[in-house]
Formats: sequence, structure tokens, C-alpha cells
Amino acid sequence: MTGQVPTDAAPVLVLHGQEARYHGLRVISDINICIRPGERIALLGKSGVGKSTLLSLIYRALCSQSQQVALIAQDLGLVDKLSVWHNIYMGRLDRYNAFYNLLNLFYRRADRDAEITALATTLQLQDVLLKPAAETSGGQQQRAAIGRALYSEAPVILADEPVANLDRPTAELCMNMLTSHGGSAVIALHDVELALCYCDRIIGLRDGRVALDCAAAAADPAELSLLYGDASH
Amino acid sequence: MLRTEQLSVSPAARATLLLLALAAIAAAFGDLGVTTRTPLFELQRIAAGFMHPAWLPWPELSEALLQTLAYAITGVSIAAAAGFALALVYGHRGVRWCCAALRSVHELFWGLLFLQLIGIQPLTAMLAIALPYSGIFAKVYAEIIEEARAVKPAIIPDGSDRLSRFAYGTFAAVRTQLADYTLYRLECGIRSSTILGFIGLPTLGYHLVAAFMQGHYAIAAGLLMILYLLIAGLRLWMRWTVWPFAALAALVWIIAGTELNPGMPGQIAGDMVPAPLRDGDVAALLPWVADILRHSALPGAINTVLVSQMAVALAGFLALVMLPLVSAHFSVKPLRLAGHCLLVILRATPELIITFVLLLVWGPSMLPAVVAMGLHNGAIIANLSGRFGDATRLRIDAAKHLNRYSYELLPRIYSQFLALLFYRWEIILRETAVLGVLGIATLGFYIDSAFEAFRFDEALLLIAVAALLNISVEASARNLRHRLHLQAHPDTQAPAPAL
Repeated sequence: MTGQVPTDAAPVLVLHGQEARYHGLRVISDINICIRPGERIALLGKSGVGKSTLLSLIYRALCSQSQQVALIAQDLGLVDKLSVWHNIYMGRLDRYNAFYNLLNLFYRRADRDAEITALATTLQLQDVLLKPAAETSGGQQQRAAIGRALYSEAPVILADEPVANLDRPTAELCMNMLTSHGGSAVIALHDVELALCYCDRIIGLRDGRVALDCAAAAADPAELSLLYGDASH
Repeated sequence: MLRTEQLSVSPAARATLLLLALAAIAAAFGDLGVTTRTPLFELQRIAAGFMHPAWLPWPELSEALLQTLAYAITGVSIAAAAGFALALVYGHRGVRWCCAALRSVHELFWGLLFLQLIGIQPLTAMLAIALPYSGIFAKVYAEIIEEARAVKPAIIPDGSDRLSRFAYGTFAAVRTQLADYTLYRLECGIRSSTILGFIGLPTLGYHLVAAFMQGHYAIAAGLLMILYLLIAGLRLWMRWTVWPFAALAALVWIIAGTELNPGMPGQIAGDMVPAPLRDGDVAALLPWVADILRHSALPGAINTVLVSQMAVALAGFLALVMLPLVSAHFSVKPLRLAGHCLLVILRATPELIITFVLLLVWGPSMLPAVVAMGLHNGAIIANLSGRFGDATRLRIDAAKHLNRYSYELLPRIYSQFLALLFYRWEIILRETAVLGVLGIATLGFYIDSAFEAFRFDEALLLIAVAALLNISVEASARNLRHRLHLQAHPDTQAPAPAL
């Protein structure tokens, strides 16, 4: 399921010798990462190692180049009081004009409705589509956030533990959708197996630095387990 | 093509539609005309006066300031003490009813009542503030204490006596909230004290009315600015260590300055007994009541409800418009500061004064009352909703401008906004009745006219009607908030300090 990544295309983003800070503290130093179009990157490492911090660094870097990015934050950032439908629609708020958006808040336009219903159905959200996000389960909220990112059709998706609350089949479905939307994806994950299965490149973080950066096919199991091993090792 | 068939109408949306429908009906029946021939000219003159404020001569000004502050501080202090005591026994139904009755009569009506009983005396002003405020304090203190008990039962050794239990447990937990609310009430007390000038007590309001009536807009502007400074700087000049001494000194001054005519209260109180009963003709009582209800109470009540329904809708609309001005999610800092200034001014100016000014501009109709109430209450709701909004953190890729407002902010705060609006509904109705003293035909107009004609029995009956109206709206607003599952007690939230 991994497609061919053209290596000669212009990179989406190049980070060279940068450092990522969280509340002013340096979390990761000496980051050298190049993201190419269509590349699907899994970000691995123990919790607290700085995956979210690296993702927000990438987000800011992409924004500063005015590139379109869809973000799935760990806390999802849904608007609880709005329906799942509107939360998904919010992925395209910047595409339509504000008055069209305002109209859609009260009357869902048929063409948008068709698109969103189709997307929600593949995400198995069709039954809760008109419910306020607050009244749906944790897994449904996570899929709504994924729906929002996919609906935006941004060429880059950044996702922070997007499938953490999902059962195995649903997690696989969502990973498949996040990695086959045609653009690039950088996905912070806990699950090494999912990472190897759906991504074509692995970036591993350990002890405040990028400890591993290789093709998924070439990843050494010993090195991968070291990412989650004891730091004093 | 629009898809309306799937539109799910949430309780909040239904409440909004109901509110708008009621306002539309009220607008259809209400009188909203502009009767002055040159409204713009008068507005220009007022604006010119505000550009160059002038000051009242110092002796008069200092006297008015002293009176205003003395009534406010003593009235609020007595009410806070009484209200706290009542809050401790608020579980009793009799206490609750008593407090509801106290606060259902507006301070201006209490003022009119005591004015007849004891004349233009400092004691009149103090009682006019102390009585309704006791009822308000009792209710809000009780709600704050109740909330704290529900959220976090204190861990206190089992054998402790009730007083220690309360002092170390609940009271310790709500102390700052009580203090904040009390200070906010002092701000309200200064406003109440000021507007008592409208019925002849020598506070800032008295000079304000005189200045406006004579077209001395520069002096009126100066007086208003002093009021703004008093309110905006409240936390700077009023300290908790100073308060008791100031209250005591003011109390002594008020008692020393009051000269009671021993025969007068008894005689006037006799006049407040319905005329048929005084004459011993019990059979005539019912026709007497029916006549007053038909000719004064009913038209007054209908007009009061019409004005307040329009005012609630306008207040909600203006609050939503002003909200971005003060929200940290929208405005840049200098603009936000200007927005805050606007809201503080609208909030610090009593509704009665805004209505009075607009009456000068537009002439007598419901329009000045509706707009004044809308502006004043809209500013308060915008301030509080803005604070709710600022407490939510938006995602870093949140939409901007109108999209941010309509999709990110408004859905998140809308239920709190509605709760505030329904709470203000009670307050708006209470204030609308009072605006009658300016000549708008709400209940206050008929009450004021009855007092002027020395028909004290009729005035008392009309005050009772106004009180019943307030109590029933308070009950239905509470009911509505409950049914919409809105936050139970928005009134325990004092608006943010002005400075």
C-alpha cells in the first residue's frame, strides 16, 4: 500500500539544524528533516519525548511558507457545541467566504452535505453526523477530527496520535485514509506496527534528538525497540 | 438548494427564536416614534457639551459627592450585613419570600415611598438602597454558599461546632467571591444613590437632572465624568480596611442629619390604606381595585412588558456586536482597550440617565427606553461573555475573523450568553418599570402620578403590582434557564472590575 515517492520532486519542507522549544525549554535539538511531497512519515518515540513539539515546529514552518496544512491536534480542538457535520465542514472555512460559511451554520448546503456525508460514511460517522460533538464518544470525536483534516484537502496533514482511542479495525481504516489522501502526512504514533504498515518513513525521537530516520522497509527492529527502551541503556 | 428538512433545532436556538418573536410582537404594538423635530441638533449640542466638560462649583459638587457616597456606603453595608444573616437561613421558605418581596420593589420606588413617609431626608435614601439590596444580597450570597457546598464539601473534624465548621469550611472557600460581589454591589449602590437624585434627593443625579433640563450639557458631562471616575476607580479608593470606618462615619452623619417629624409617618401610613377601607365602605373595595387595575396597572404593566421585551432582544444583539471588541481572540490590544472603555462607560451610566438623555434627543416614546436598556445591558453581557470566551483556548490553526466568531467562539459561549441574557431579562423588567418616572408610560409613570396626586393608597397598590410582575418574571426566567440546562446562577458572577 505504500506508493512510489518521487525523490527528485521539490521538498515540501526542509528543516536544517533547527531546535524545537516547549515553553521556552529546548526539547529537541539539531533537527535535520526534509519532507517530500506524498511522503508518509511516522513520528515515533516515548511519550514526553517531544513528538507534539516537533509537529508544532513543522506546522509553524509550513505556515510561515504559507503552505496549506491540516492539523489534528492531540486534544482534537473540536467545537463541542457544533454538530459533527459542522466540525468536519470547518476544515474548509478558509476556502469559502465568511457569509457562505455563516449560511451553512444554519442551512447546510446540499453540495457540501453530499461531500461531507460521503466522507463521514467512510469514517463510520453517518449515525452521529448531526449530533453535537460533545454528545459523541471519544472514538467518534477522533474520527470527526480526522474528517475535518481530510475535508480540508490540504496537501500536508500533521496528526498527533490520531488513532489512539480507536479499536484495531477502525484505527487501520483511519490510518489508511490519512496515508492515502494523495498528499504528505506526518503522524505521531505509539503503535510501531501501524507505523511500519502505513508509513514509508520512520523518524524516531530519543533523548532530545532525532535518533532514527530511515525508510520504513529498512527499519531495524532492534533500533525501533531502543526508541521505547531505557534511556540509560 | 437549501436543505431545511434536516435542520435540528437545539433548545438554545429555540429560545433565541422565541425571544426574537416576542420582540417583534412587542415592536408591532409599541410606540417607537421620534417626536422631536430636530433630534440631530440636540444631539450635537449634547456632544459639544461633552467635548468641553465643565465643573459644578466646588461647594455644591463636594456636597453632592458626599451625599452620593454616604448613601451608597451605608445602604450597601447595612444590606450586606442583613443579607449575609438572611443567607444563612435562606433555606426557610418564609425568608426566601421575604427577600423576594424586598428586592422586587425597585430602590426608586422604595425612595418614593419613604419620601412620603419621612420626607427628603438622608435616612430616606439610605433605606431606599438598604432594603432592596438586602434581598438581593441574601439571594446571591445564599447561591454562592450553596454552590461552594455542592462543589467541595469541607473536610472539618467531626466534633467541631457549627460556627467553626462554617468559618473554616464554606466561608473560607467563598470569601473572595463574596468580597468581589459585595464590591460590585457597592458600584451598583453608587449608581442607585445617584439616580435617587431624580426624585429629589440631593445626590449627583439631582444636579445632573438640573443641568440636562437647563441645557447645561457641559456641566452634565462633568458630573457624569466624576461618576465614571468614582466607579472606575472603586478598587483604588475603597479598601476593605477603610470600609467599616467610612460606613460608620457616614451612618453617624446620616442619623445626625435626619430630622423626623414624629406625627408624619403615621398620618401618611394611614393614607396608604385603601380609601374605601378608610371610609369604612368595604363593599367599595373591589370596584376601587378593579378601577385602578383597569386604568393604571394594566396599561402600565403592558407597556413595561413591551419595552422590556424589545430591550432584551436589543441588548442581546448589541452584546453580540460588541463582543469582538473586547475579546482577546479578535481585537488587537489598543482596540480592545478602547472597546473596554466604551463598555465601562455604558455600564457605569445608569439606564435612567441614558434614557433621560435619549428622551431629550428623540422625544417621548418607547424608543429612548428600549435603546438605553439595550446599550447598558448589552455592554454588561458583552463584558461577561467576553470573559467566558477568553477562558477558552482556540487551536493554533483556528479560523480568523468572521469565521472564528461564528464557528469557534459563538457556539462555545452561546449557552452562557443566553443564561446571562435571561438573567438580565429580570433586571431589565425591574428597571423598565422605573423608567416611568421620566414620563414613559410604564408602571413607574402611574406610580409617580399617584404619588403626585397624593393618592398614596393607589401608589402602594401599583407598587405591589410592579413587585408581582418582577417576581413572576424572575420565576419564569429561572424556569427557562433550568429548562435550557443553562448554568444555574450567572448572577453570582460579578462583572469584571472596571480597572
